[in-house]
Amino acid sequence: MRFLENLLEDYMENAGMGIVLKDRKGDFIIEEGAVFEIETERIPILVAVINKGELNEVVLMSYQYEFATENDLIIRFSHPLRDIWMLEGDFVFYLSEEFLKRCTPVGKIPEEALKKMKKFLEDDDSYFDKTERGIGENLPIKVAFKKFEAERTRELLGELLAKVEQAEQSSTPKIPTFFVKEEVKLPAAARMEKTAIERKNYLLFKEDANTVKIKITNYKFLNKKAKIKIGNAEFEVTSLPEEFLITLQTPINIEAFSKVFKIEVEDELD
Amino acid sequence: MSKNLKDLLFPEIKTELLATIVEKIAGTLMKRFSDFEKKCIANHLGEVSTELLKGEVWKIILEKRNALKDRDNINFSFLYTIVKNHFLDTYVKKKIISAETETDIKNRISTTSETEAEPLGAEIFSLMDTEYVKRIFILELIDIVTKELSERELEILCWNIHRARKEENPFLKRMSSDAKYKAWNRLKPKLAEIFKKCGGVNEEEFFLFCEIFSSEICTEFR
Repeated sequence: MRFLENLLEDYMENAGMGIVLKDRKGDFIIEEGAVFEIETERIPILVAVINKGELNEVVLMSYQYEFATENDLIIRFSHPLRDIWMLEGDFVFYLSEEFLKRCTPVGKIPEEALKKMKKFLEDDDSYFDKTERGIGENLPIKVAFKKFEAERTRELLGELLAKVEQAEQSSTPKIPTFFVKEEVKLPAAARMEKTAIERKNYLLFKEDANTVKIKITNYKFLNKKAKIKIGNAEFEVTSLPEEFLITLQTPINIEAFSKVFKIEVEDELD
Repeated sequence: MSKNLKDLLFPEIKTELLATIVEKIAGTLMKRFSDFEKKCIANHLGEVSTELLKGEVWKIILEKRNALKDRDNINFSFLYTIVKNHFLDTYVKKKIISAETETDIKNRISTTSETEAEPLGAEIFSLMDTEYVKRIFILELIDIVTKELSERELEILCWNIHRARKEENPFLKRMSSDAKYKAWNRLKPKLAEIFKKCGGVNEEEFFLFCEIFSSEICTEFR
């Protein structure tokens, strides 16, 4: 009969692969049950939010419900592509709010379907009733369909990995940066600019055009309450870190900077 | 990124340009539809040709146009899939779920729902959708079975289905009763292995398999 084989060929040809995110974030609240279209170069990928969180738990949707298996819930969902869809219970992704806000909201799945999918995902012993799910998960053509689904959504797994990477990066200690709002006048300096200057209690490094990195070399200064002065500008830190950055509004010549830069620590002067 | 065709539909329809897309969709469908799908469509519309499909594609696009007005991007794949799904839902699904099955489902629901406050329409739709998926699965199984069994083995299966259902049995007329039983006993493990490879079937699915196999395949051996 070749019915499913033909359907799969067509599906594979028209389904989009590369994800295209909008430049601007949408101004909407992400709700459980909400369906989002993730744009691709062809047919968009649809996902339904099942559980809200820092990373939203979403389930893949497909209009080609002829391939539904025991893990797929067949639902009514009004969309130009089709009015019957399946929620694919074996394709769960974790997408950030940032990501979803760059996609298009296109409606909500029925409340009853949301409840059933929540239960299915929470409870390993929960199954969909045979009057609302597909059949034949081991049928070779359905296995091929699921393999393709995995392929076309591979990039969504990347979203989770990117988030994990980001979290790891943010857990590594960052160098504190102090932004000086006041305009600081620096004295004249030689044209040949240095990149580092050594002082008695610290080192100064040129970080970028407007930023200097300070590394404290006198360990008696560390973690002490300190007053930092740059010409006419000054601010206090309750615990002086070993390294910190100072960014001015204007470009810095490090030699000139060093002439007006002072750290005053309780009972110590630099 | 595929070409955005929204300009052909909005603010007004650019008939000539849209006609080329309609023709392309109809041509692709003509190539892509299997004999089975063409048969399903022919049941309602007569012999399937590119010309006939073009008329239908126009109709479907115009029907769906309003639902597309808020979309930023309408590419060829999107339009093609809308049309293809419409054909599936209107003709193929109706052929797969026979009129008798539809009536049977409606009767079943109206009997069980007399005492319940279930929304009748939604339940019927839901059962029709799952029935459709179930029947496609059985048709796929039949396809696999017919590919893996010889003509002789298929006739043996027909003989056994009709024997079990105590129906008139015109199969394997030249074989002795003893030989038919022996042939069926040899076929049983092979058939079980095919079902197992496809994930197995329960009693209800096996009965449905026998029913469809009998009407689709066994008629050839009568």
